[in-house]
Amino acid sequence: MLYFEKKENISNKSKLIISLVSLLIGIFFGGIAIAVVGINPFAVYKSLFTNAFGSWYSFSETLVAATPLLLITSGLILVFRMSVWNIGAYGQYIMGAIFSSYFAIFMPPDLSKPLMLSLMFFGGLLGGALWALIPAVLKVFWEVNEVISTLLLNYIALYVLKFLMYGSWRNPTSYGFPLSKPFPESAQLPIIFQHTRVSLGFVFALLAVIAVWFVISKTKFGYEIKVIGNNPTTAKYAGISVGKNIITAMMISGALAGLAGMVQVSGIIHFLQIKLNANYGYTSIIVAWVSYLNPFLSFMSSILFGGLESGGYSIQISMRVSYGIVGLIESIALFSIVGAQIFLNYRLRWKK
Amino acid sequence: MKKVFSYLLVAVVLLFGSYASNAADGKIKAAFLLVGPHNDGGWSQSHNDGRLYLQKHVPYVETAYSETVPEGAPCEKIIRDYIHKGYNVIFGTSFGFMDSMYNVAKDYPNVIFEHCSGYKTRKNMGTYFGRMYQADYLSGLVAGMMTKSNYIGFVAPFPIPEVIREINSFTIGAREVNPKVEVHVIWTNSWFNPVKERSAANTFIANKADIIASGCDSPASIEGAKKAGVYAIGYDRDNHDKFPKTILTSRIWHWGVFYTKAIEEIKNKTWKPTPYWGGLKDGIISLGKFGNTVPKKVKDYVLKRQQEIIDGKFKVFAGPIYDNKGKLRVKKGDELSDQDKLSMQWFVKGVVGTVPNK
Repeated sequence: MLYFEKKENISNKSKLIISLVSLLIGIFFGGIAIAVVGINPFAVYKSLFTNAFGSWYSFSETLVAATPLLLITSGLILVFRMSVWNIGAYGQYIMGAIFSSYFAIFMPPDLSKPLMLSLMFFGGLLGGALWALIPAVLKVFWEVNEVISTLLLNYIALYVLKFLMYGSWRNPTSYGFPLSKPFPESAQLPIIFQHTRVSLGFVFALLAVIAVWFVISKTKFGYEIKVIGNNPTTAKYAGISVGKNIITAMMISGALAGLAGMVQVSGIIHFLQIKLNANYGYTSIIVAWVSYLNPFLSFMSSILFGGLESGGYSIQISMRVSYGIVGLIESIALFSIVGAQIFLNYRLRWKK
Repeated sequence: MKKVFSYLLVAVVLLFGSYASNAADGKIKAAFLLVGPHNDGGWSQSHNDGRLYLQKHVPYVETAYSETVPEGAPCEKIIRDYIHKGYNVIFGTSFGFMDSMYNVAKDYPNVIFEHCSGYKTRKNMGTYFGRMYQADYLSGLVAGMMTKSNYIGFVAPFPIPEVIREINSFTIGAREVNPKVEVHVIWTNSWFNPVKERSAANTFIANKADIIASGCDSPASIEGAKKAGVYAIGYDRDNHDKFPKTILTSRIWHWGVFYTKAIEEIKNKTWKPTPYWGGLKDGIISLGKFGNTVPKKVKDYVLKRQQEIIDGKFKVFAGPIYDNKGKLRVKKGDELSDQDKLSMQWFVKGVVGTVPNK
């Protein structure tokens, strides 16, 4: 009879090998699915790869897509490490975009660029942090399950955005389309590589990764997070204030998701609209998981998923396949990565 | 391990790190952005028909299209992709692509942008549209003469000038021949949403409407009309053969006329970023086939008016025109200027509905 046996020690090497092998398995099954549709899977993968990493332009677009993933994932790593499940990055991202857009839309456009961008920067952080504070407080004081509350707050955030876009924030000259006024030059994040769309937001993302790595490995707060994640009761007996830590970590996580929203409106879209690509909030959950809550692995996973997204738009053009194919590859790859996690903690044994 | 991976990444980038060439080898490469599926049976398909017409009639052009392009950031990404693949003419066929095109046009002064139905232009970005209101008016004549309940339903996408103009000219036509007609409006707030379009049509039919017109991109409302046994006015493409008993007539786009003109001008280096606004005379729009039940008397009246419009003897928006709140908008003897037509935000008398407040 086959059975699973729990492993004692899991080395970093086996983590990497298992995730790479499972990724390959995912790609293999994705290929079968593409072949079933009647398209040559090798051509699709080759095209996907060159369109994601094949030239400086494609790679820059991959970075553009990776930026919000990196920011959100860094925050999620903190809370996930203490086994607090923030599913609300989607809503926190939207709130960050709304708070920062407020300044771009309603402040005098001739405000100096550093001042305007700082207002928007802190607006983004604040919007996301406040939106994450609600479920954190509910959890700490009334033991409301944060999975449900963060998820439901996502819908509320979306409706707040719709309310504004169909209401007072709509541009009077947009002929009824739910778009805000275009942001003035002073509210647009500077581009760091010429002729690309990679903005200063990418630097924010890199700093966030480093900061989170520092927090979890070098600070007392990081240590307490780890203890709470392992066993909240032990943490309490050890004199750690669980509630305070949960609230702090949730607010940091929300703030980083909010910053991702700010980077998107200020660096890419240049106005506020209903379609903000807030789905990054959900993709980031997956990115955090496949990187085993490790900040540096999350950097690579973000680039990988960013490439999948930006390459996905492009293979529509070069391969004439629908964007749905990309969703298919992505989901099959995820399924196998997540499914393979069992082999990380258990090994398969045969008993007569 | 981490290091190895990042080295690999850098190596890959360097290996493939060549810029896609922007120079076209004498060939013009034109990309089309469609807001809906290329075979939506309406708006996007009419543009794709135009693309195929262009491809067939102009030998030195190569075309490609992307369908269901989302408005906003992804649209900008798709345009940039085309340019990096060497495309040097971009046709954007939806109002919502305007800001994305406008942004990208700034970065690529050597690429020519043509945007359908918008108002922003640059040195390398022009706009194009058609005087569809002429065909809307003619189809209104047909509807006015054919209705018995005097209740006509108009399924409308967005309260933007383009759509308001459509409803107004249609109503002017209908009430010219039948002053008792009322045109009722439902907004779907979407270009392509067959489910909403169909349910709007059903709402009208439940309220005794016997003719359904639509400004949306799919023929769903026509199917609703067919099922209920009432008439419909087609839009975008001639779907007469599919619904011979339902469609009275259609308002049709012939985008190929503009696309060939623009590409020829680009080839001859005479292209300028003009706002193009052709009408019945230019052939960019026309009326479709009449339905089997339309009597000769009606057809003759409509065709006579059509000729008068082509000859410049008849103007659709000639005064006096009152809006639906009773205010005089165009004085007797005057005609609404093109500028006012393009920014229309009010309904003429006879339309039941409101333009949502800003």
